[in-house]
Amino acid sequence: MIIAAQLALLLALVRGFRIENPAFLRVLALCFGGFLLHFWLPVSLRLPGFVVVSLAGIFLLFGPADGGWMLAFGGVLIGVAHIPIRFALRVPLIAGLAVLLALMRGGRIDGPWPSTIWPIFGSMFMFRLIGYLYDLKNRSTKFGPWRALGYFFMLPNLCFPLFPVVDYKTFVASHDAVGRAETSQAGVNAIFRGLTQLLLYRLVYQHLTLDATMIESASQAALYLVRPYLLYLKISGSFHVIVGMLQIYGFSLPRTNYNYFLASSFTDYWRRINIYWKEFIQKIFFNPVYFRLSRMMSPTRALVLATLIAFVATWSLHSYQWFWIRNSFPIVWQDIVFWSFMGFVVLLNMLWESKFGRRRSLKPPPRTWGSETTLALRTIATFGLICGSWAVWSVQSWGELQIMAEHLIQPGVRDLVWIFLGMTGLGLAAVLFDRWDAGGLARPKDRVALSLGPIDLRWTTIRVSTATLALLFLAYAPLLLRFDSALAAVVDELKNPLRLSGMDAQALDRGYYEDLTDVARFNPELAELYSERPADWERCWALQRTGRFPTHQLLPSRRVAFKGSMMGTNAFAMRDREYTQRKPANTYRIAMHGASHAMGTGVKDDQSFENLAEDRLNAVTRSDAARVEILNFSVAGYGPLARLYDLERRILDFEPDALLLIGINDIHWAAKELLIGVSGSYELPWPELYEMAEAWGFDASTNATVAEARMRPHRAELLGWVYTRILEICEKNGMTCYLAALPQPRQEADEAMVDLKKQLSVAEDVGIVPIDLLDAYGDGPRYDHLHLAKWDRHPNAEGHRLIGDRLVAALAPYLGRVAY
Amino acid sequence: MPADAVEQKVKDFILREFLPGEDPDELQLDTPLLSTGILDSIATLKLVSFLESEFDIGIDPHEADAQNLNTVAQIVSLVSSKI
Repeated sequence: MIIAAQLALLLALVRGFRIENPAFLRVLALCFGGFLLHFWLPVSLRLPGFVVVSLAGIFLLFGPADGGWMLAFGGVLIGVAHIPIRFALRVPLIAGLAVLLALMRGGRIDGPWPSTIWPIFGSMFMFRLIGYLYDLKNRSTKFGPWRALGYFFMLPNLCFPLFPVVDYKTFVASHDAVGRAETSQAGVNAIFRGLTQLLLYRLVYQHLTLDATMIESASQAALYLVRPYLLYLKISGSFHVIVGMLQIYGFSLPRTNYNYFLASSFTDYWRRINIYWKEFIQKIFFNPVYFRLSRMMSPTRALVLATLIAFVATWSLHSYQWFWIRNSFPIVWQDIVFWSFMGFVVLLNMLWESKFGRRRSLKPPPRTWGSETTLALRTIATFGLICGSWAVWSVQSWGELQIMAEHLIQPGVRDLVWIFLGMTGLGLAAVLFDRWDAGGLARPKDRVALSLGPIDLRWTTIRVSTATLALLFLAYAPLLLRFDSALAAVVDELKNPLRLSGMDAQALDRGYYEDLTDVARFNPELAELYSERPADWERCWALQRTGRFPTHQLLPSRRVAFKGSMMGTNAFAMRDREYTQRKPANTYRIAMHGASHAMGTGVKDDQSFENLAEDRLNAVTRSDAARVEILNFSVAGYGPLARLYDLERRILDFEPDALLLIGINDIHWAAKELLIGVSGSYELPWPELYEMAEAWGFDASTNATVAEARMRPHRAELLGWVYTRILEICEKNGMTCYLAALPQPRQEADEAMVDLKKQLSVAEDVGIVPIDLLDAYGDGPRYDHLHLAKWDRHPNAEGHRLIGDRLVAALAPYLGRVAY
Repeated sequence: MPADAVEQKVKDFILREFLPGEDPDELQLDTPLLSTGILDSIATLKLVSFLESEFDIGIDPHEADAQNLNTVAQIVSLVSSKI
């Protein structure tokens, strides 16, 4: 009952903070409900009981049809492994089936289920089947239908594609191996620990984000260095929850990812981090290779070769894993550098220990000030080294590392204080946790402690319950009590799994990740969104490449499907109705130019805010007033420089009275257009821009990230140059020039909003009439219903209606003399 | 070879190679070796190499795990099954 009460609290915690996804909540509820029955089953029925709960989860989550297919495919794979023919013949049969499944996963052959099921099915079999076959070949443990079903279809796998590689032999041996109450309590403890880590991950993800080009100090550079390693909290949190869910059903599986931030050496790091993976690689690759080679050559040579092969296997299996989970097979230099470095360090460590040994003891070593200080320093050094290698692993370019290093070697006093405080805190934590652990390990023959860590039923119960209640208070108190608004905002964001970090939100807005491979490596939130996106979502058949600047243009008189809607272009290649080139009499003509939002991406022709605004303006004008025409020159992906290009070459032919620029983040886009031009990808027709770039410290030979960092302080200056040039052309042709700042329909305030305000002030400074549309979507807390899709933040039809209304209201006072 | 002799040779090797200076009485038949980190992967390979050469037996890679090598008792049992 005590365990059940704790599980109920944990379920409330998951619900309160909306941890992970709705599927997780359902699986967890099933897991906890099933536990209440399972706990009382006789020993002989516990494994079948676990299988029944797991299979129920499959049907609950995937439905009878897809769940049935999943079981059928899995059943065939398990069945083939047990066909009574020579083992050597079974392996190619299974390999053939794996190739068939891979063709389905890659989309070469149609599969029987939706693509969303592949990550789960893939993660059930991609590694576990290898280990299972290995144990089957060696007959090193017991086999049977219940064990096989429980092993492959284990319940927590239904909502976690990234799953620890549980070893079959360990899985079988661990069931009911030690006290049931202790194992279940250890499970509760692990789940709580995992949920806490998932919340910490969300905190880090949402608040410790920093674009490399924005680094301005050594402490920011240090933060940038540490962040990728901290983001591993998501994986370790999931693994704790997974192992905990298995433990409450009596599988006394070993702890994984245990206090890995506090590792005091590389050996210690491998002992703490993903030990399931380490043991899988050791069992399947390292040991067989070493045992074979050591009979043919010296042990040292065999050790070196086996270690290298183990790390090559680790690297390639990570890409293999991404194939099944994300349908991409990343082969990038960052992975090669990271795994080579890790392999090198581990090899050095092994050779050293092989030659000189390592101090081991049957008793805990005595504690002195010297030993504690050494432990703290070793922990800080290990943490720093691992953060460095993780930072290299996760960067997009060498330029990011260059910027980070430039700032790290020039710390100010304030930076030094922050870095010192961080390192001291880490060292202190290492000493305190080491003491805590030593208490548990003081009883080295305690089988429960050795399997699961020290478990004191009463103390663990009090600790988990109190901490869960405290977190629940944090989740619900802002709804009941008056809280400091800043704290309430942080808690509110923490409860929102849909909130992308500022950096990822901008990456999504800018279509930064063109290739799923890039996004899958280190952006799980974005990758999840991208994985649901139809493959041809970004393809627009009405756009044509030009081979110059601007890189693409709309084709005339096309009607195509784009982002879920039909879009048409007129005879002059505008996403608009048909107009005459010559302006009709008694007409006030506005040339509107913007990017994808203004082009009406993803909405029907009559739903774009431009057409809605034009109709509204004409509907409310006096009958004798001039008719208003808004000609939409917008093209997706056009920034301020591309708009200037069109103004100089195309727009004036249509005799407009006004130019209405729509900018969603001109500060960013102008800089991006210049950076690409200077890099040599296309030639910009304004030579003075190249001189400006040179004066700001970058040219074609500068690394892209470094160039972006050097561009950043001058972005407003560049935009001022573009706006001034546009205004000069407008004034010369008797046109009024308006600049509307239009935000994305999203809830988080971030850098883009700051940029939008800056964009308005730059326009105003040069003499353009600013039109503030920042409140176009109202002030509601949630804008999710205004997005085209979860993975696409362009406004939908409702969003365009709101923009159209706001634009009419904003333009009306300026058009009064001609229209009202 | 009697189990007592195997046990003594195994204990002597572990104490000499991995636990120099430790009290021999502290290393008992059921003292955990792998799960406490006394035997790590390198030490395990050294131990296997010793067992193969000392007792003239062959140990397969899949046998070099916690179910066979975690305690002196398990090691003795593995060796005895192969002699």
